[in-house]
Amino acid sequence: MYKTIIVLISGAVILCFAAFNNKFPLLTTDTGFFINSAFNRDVSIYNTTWYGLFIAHSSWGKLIWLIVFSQCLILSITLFYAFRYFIKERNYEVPYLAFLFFTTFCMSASVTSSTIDPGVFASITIVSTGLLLFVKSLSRRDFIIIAIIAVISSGMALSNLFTMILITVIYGIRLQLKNRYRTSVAIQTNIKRVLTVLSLAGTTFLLISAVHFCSGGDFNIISLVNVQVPVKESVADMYPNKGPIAKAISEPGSNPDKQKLNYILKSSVNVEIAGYNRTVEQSETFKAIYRWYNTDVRECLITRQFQGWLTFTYLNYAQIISVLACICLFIISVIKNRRSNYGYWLFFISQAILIQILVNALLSNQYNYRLVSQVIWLLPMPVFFYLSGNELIKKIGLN
Amino acid sequence: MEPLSANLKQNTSKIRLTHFFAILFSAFILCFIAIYNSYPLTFNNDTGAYVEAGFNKVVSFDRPILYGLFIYYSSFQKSLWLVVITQSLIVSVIIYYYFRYTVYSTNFIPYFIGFIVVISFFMGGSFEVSWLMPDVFTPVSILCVGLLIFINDLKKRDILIISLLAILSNGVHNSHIYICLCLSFLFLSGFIFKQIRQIFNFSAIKIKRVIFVLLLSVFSSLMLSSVHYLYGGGFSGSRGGSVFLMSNLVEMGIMDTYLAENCSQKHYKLCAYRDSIPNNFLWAENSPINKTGGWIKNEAEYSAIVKDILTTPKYLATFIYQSCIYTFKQFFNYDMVDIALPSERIDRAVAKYQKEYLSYLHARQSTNRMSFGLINFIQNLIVGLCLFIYLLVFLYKKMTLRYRVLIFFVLSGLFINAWICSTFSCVSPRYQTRVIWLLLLPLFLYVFEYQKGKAVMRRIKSNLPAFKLLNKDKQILILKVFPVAKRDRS
Repeated sequence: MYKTIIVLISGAVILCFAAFNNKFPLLTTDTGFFINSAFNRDVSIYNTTWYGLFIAHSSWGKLIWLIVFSQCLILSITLFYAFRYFIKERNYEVPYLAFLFFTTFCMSASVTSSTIDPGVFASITIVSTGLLLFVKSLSRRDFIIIAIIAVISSGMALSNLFTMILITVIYGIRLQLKNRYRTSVAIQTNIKRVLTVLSLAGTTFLLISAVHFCSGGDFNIISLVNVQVPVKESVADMYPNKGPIAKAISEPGSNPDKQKLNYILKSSVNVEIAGYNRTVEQSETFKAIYRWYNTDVRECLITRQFQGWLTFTYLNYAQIISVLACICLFIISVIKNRRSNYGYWLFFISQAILIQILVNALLSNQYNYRLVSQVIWLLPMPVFFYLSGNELIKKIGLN
Repeated sequence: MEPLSANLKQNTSKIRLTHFFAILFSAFILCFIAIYNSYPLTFNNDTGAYVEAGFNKVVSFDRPILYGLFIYYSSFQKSLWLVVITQSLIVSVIIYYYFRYTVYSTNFIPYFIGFIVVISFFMGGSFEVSWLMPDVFTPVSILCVGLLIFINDLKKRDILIISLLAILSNGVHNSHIYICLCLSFLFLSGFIFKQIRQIFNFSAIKIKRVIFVLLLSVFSSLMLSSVHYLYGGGFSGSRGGSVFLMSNLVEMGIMDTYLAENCSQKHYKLCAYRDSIPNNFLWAENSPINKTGGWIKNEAEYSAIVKDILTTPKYLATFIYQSCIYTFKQFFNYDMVDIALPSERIDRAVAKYQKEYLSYLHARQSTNRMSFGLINFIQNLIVGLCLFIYLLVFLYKKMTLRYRVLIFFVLSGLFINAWICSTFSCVSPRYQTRVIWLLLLPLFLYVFEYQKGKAVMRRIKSNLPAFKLLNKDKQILILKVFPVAKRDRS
């Protein structure tokens, strides 16, 4: 038990690496909006209010670091369960920790979870949905924990909720179509689990609506989908050195449908970690920190991000190489062994990532520069599931 | 008999010569960044301040004079390259001692050089050595403590060398004595608990040697105070402690709250500036410390404020919380980033070495051509890998107990360094860069011992009858020294 707690907390601390390295949680242009909504209890016209509530409660109203730590702990717990239930070996902690370290130092896991932004909950939703759908023998305690995590994380953004529903529906349909001749595959669900996840999604939906309504908003949160989000930062502003291409896609006179399609396409293929521009004192984010976390303002002023030293050049290279390596590995594994469980895992993860990206891109009418990078780090997970069967890793776990 | 003894002597001198050249070669590799830069690296105003202190023989109010004197004497007032060479030799010798005394073999040289290559080209080892800053002495200080605590069979000559290096390294920077004291107290407190005492017994750690390290730290402080006294700086070791802490309290946001709540009752000079205290409290020109007479004049008032904060539970709780956060921030901040264009003060200081002023001006740093992006990223990967391996080692009790204690020692050194620097000064990547490369040392030592053990096992297997002929004590000794062989045999 103590070992598990140590592993979980160590995992959470390692996931906070990017925040520690920056000397402060990473901030985005939206962070200010979320912090304000946490304490003003303003109802957002284009997002759910849950992340604001999460900020207010997890920080105890004054400790900004606790927001990031809570996010990392939730992520750490979810991934821990994934490795515990999806790996048959006894030493699941070894590949779990290996995965955490790998995604922290070579991919965007730590950057995403160290940011005050609901982006990290997209991957938590995917993993928790996978757990609820595919694990045959979840203990009651674990089921409750994972269900709570799934409800919280899917409620953080409408796109998460839709992703959860879509994944479940797809696997429900697959279940009906392929149940007869795919019985030996480990990654499979049953109608009970599909209905459970759908009912959890329904509960989340009602909860979000109720919270929204209680805060003075509309009960029908679907209306949030149709709201046009004001574009805060154009592509041309973000990439000033990209010249005519960036200018072309952010030109106000261009066809809005074409522009949106452009945004969707661009957002969906950008694997790089971006959007962590220098925070300036005039920004909404800085003002929100000044107002609500006043004692932390001095800390914020000396961060790498504030000083303009925050760069991810080599991390981006590593991320791209990792993604390509994962794809190559799985192409090889699929060619070699078509019915491998890990192949199915890759299929599930990539499908979930794709759904998440598309849903997010469709719901947003502006260029979202963190869309892919906030979930793409899940891709190597099946590789680590696969590696757990390696003799060396098996040996490490044996005392 | 005579030819045998002559042969033995010849072999010994050959080994000694090899080791000597290995140390020289390692020292050369450790100078890599300075060579790449075409001149030793300098930092901000600090390098200038140290050179000035050495030449003017004046004790500064904010830093010990010892590093200034070290620069002055080791450079022979001729070349700053000599300082870098001396630093690299010291680091090289200390690391050599680890390989020599931790692994029972003479053919450790490839591993020793391998370690030096990795920390020089892919981590901050060479950066620290090539820097005209006392930071390189932090790892030296920690390593000296480690040698004195862990190694039982140190030669008297080596004990003397290590002790002298420990005294020197403790005296060059305010934080070093505290790091050593904390480390020795940590190990000393272990003797209180029976379980830990047993672990120490198994790892051959003796209370006598821990007390010796403790006394050495106290002696270093006394020696530093005496040196300061000798140069007219008063009998005081560390300098400007309360002012540094004051600056950090400002950064932590505690000072704003404290002044807002207390200025009505307590009439500090600082209260007049409470709405305009800059973040860079120590060095900003518009800082109250500069407006109200400087460090020395304000030390008494700042000490009173600091004391009041640390004895009021409300502020103390915030301070402890911030201290924890700051320690983690510092622990994970180890990038080599402080390479800016040299300031005018450094220009003036280096001008004292007239003959090399031109090469200083043409150096990469002076012409803004230094970048450590790739090394920083690789260092990140190495640190991540080390932390992962060490976490597994402790979770699954891998490696031998002795190595686990050594890893614990290194990690403690790193954490104590992070805690002291971040809590009492500020979070700066510089403070952790200086020690982060120590993480790799236990891993290298273990890998060597593991390989060596395997080789011994192969030899035992191939000469099993000969092994059986050895008396039981020798058999046990071999198996004790090489745990891998023991495991394989079982």
